[in-house]
Parts: sequence; C-alpha cells; structure tokens
Amino acid sequence: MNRPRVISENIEGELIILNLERGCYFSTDRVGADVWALIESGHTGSGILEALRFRYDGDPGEMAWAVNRFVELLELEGLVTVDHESRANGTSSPGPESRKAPFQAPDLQKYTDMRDMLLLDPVHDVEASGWPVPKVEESWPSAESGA
Amino acid sequence: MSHGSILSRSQRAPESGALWPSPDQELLLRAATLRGEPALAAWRAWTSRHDLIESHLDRGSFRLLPLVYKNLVAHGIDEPHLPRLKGIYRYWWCSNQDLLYQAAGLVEHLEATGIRTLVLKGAALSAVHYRDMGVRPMADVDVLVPFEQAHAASASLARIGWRPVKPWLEDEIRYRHSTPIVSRAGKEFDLHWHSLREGMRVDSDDRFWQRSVPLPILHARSRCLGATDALLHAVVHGMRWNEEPAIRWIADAMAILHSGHPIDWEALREEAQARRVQLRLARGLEYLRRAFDAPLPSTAGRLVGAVRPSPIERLEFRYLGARSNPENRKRALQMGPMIALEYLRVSSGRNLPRKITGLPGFLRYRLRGRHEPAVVVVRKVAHLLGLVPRRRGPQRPPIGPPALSSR
Repeated sequence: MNRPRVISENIEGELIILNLERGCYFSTDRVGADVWALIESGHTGSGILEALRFRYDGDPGEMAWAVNRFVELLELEGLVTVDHESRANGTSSPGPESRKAPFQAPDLQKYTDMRDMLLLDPVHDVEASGWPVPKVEESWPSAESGA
Repeated sequence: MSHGSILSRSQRAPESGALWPSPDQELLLRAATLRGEPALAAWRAWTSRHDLIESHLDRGSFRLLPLVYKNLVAHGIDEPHLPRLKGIYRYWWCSNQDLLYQAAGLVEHLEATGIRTLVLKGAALSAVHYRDMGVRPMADVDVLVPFEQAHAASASLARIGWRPVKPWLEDEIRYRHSTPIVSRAGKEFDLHWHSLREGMRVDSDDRFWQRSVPLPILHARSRCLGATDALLHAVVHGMRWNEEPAIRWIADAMAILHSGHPIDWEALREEAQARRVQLRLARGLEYLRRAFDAPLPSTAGRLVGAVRPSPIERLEFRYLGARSNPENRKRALQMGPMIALEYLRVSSGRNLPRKITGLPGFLRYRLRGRHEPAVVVVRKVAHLLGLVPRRRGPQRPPIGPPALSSR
C-alpha cells in the first residue's frame, strides 16, 4: 500500500480507499476487500490466490486472471506498488471445499474528484444508498467501474 | 458511581437553552453515546419526531449522525435510513482524512523547523478517544505551538504558502488564543499559541505540554493532550456560545470518559482552578452525570467543586449563559461586561497599571469592524473617555513579536 497518501477503511464489509494525493475515492466489494487485506498483511501474488481459494469456489485460472487484473488496477491508480515477480498463478492447490462462497471477479468503483463529492449534501443530494452516490437528476458523473 | 451534586445551590446558574442541548439534541446525543436500551429508546424517540430527510437539522445535530450510525450498527439495529447514515459516516471519514493528510504535512514541516506541535480537538480526539476517524466531524485541524514560537510558526508556514486569514497577526497573538491560517488553495487550519481562550498567560499551557502524549498523524509525529487535560479542554471549549450549536463537547467528553484512559481528578481540579474555570467544568460534569450517566468517580464532584470560585469567575459564568442568547450579544448593557471580562482574561497576570495602559489597544482590536448599535455606543464612550484613538490609516503589517513580559 502506498501509505501515507493512500488510506483505507472497511465499513461493515465495504472497503473504501482514498488516494489523498490525487483526491480520488474508491470502493470495492467483498472479494476486493479480501484482496486488499491480504496485500496489507504482506501477501504477494501466489499467497493472495492461495488464501482466496480457501474462501471462494471458482476456476483457479479465472481467479488468477481476475486477481491479477484487480491488482493491476490498484497499481494503475497509485494505490499499491506491485512486485511483478510475484504475480498470482493458478497452480496452487485448492482449499477445503466446504462453506466456500462462489468467486466473483473483484470490482473497483472510482470517483475521481473527492473534493467535489464533499460539496454534496450527504443527506439530501444522494441516492438512498448514501454518499457518494449522487441523485440521478443531479447530472453528476457516475462512478467508473474498473474491473 | 456517585450521584451526589457537584455544585452547591448558590453556584447553580439558570439553565440556558442555547448553552445546553435542546431536548431533541439531547435525544440524538443519547442515541450516539449511550449503550443498550437507553440508546435505542432515545433513537426511537428522536425518529418519532424527526425524519432524517424531511426535518431541518441544525449543524450540531447533523454532526452527530456518524456517531449515531456507528452506535446503531454496534447494537445491530436495522432501520430504513441506515444506508444513508452509512453514507454520512463515509462522507465524514473521507473529509476528515483529507484534513488530516493536509495537517500531517503542516505538522511535519513545523516539527522539521524546530517548532513543537500539539494537535487539539477533533483530530486528536478521533485518534485517541473515539479510535475512529469517521465519527467525529471536523471543520479544520487545530495545531497548538508554544506561545514563544507563535511568530516563528507563522513565518515558517508563510514560507510554504500559508498565511493568516486576518492580516493583523500581531494583535491576534496579543489578544486571542488562535487564528485561522489559509493556503493558496484555500485550505484552512487553526494555529493556536494558547490551547484555550481561558488561559492567555505565557505559561498557561505549560502543564498541558508537560502531560501531553505522542500522537502520530499519518506520517508525521506530533503530540496531543493527555486524557485529563483533553477532558478539561473539551468541556471548557465546548461550553460557550457558538453559531453552530456546540453540543459535540458532550459526545467528546463521553468518548474521553469511556476510552479507558485514566483521569487524574486532582490534576483536573488544579488545572480548573488555575484557569478559573471550575464552575464551568463542574457544571459540565454535573450535566454529563445527570443526563448521560457519565462514569465519574465519587470523588470527582467534590474535587472539582472543592474551592469556591472567585467572584470574577462566577460573574463570567453568569455572562456565559447570557451570551448564549444572540439578542444579548447585541445589547450594550450585556456587551460592556462581556468585553470587560474578556479583557480580564487577556490581561491576566499583569499589574493594575499595565491592565489600564493595555486597555485602549484591546478595545481598538475588539471593536474593529463592528457596527452593531451596542458597539457604536461602546466605541463612542471609549472615545469620550480617551481610551481609543481616532481612526487612523489602514492597518500596517506586523513589525515584530510582542514583548513576552507584557503577558
């Protein structure tokens, strides 16, 4: 993680990430939050994949592709610095089969101008899902989906 | 826990609606700070009278919502507006992080140039007592530097593009405890040389500095008040009139009291006595105990209220309540004593001749740019008495630090 200019918080299962230098806001889903937590705890490519295969059920090759793509996006956005010697590959042994959730490729939602977003009234100018999703009638740029 | 009264009857002032939370604000505060059924009952009562979207919320109440959200989630409450409340929490988490990132750069710069820093209020409370950067909304970051380094800090900040909002920095340092500083990009923070306006002597904050503890702000290293002093600061700073209802001191004080950091009640009493804020502190703690069942030890009330406050402190407390009424603030009969009491704070530690000779300068500063009828009256009286010179040319920039011995 590119601290201190990048900072994150898991809010009841939803991970939000800020690139404070660029003023960008990101949010990601459960799989993305898992990948992020693994990166934070020092895991590299194959270690991330191995840990995910203990938690999710999916094709090892597709999982490796999706994780690599997600990590590339994080790197592209300046959120992490990747050691390219340690890319995930699908050759690690699968984890236990019981109680695993189906794997879904992690998604990274991006809002490009946090300071403009902070001008929104978080009670009235947003959808029912809450800030930072603006009301549709507000001609506001919607989030970009990265993955 | 003691439920005995902290104050004698003679020390009690009439409740002021503006100084204390309204019944609805108190419900929201209870929903934000209490545990278990009392918190949930308060939330139900508040939502029976308000709708998050349709009701007009004052700023003080709005700023409690992220803490309410976290408390509802901690109690497993599912309610229709929870996603919107979560959004409000996200909003303040992001806003606070943005402010902290900027503050970390400033603190790092000041420390690198040999200026000691101590982070006050929201940033420190969030990190140390709430242990959550999203529940305590901040409008800016407050950084204290030693009084003798105030000019050096301002000069150091000017080198990286930060300037005082008010051009009369010299007077600000002489008569106030802090001033807003703004960057070229319009970002702002508060530079303090005194932690509170209730302590304007050169040495007022010495004990605060001695008892302060390290505080990392992202990549920067600073300090913050110890828990005892943070409690005093939260109550005394919060219990005053403010454009925005200053009710968050209650949540701040409760966070400090629940954070597990020990409070040195004897040190609190000494500090309150030295700063002449015993009455305010005692009233605040009494309110926290009564309305929020604050975890105060049986000795706390006796200690804080042990020494009878001076007549000036009692008068000041009386005007604190009067000042909470905006109408009173414009009345000459109220304004005169308010300004006089303020000057007694500013000139604390000076002998009588120095108090007298320093008064014209203070009045000139205090009444600058104000045109309310009461101010016009006070200004005319001051002119008649020869206390304030006739208007001169435009304010010149500061020419150097004030003599420290004059404080």
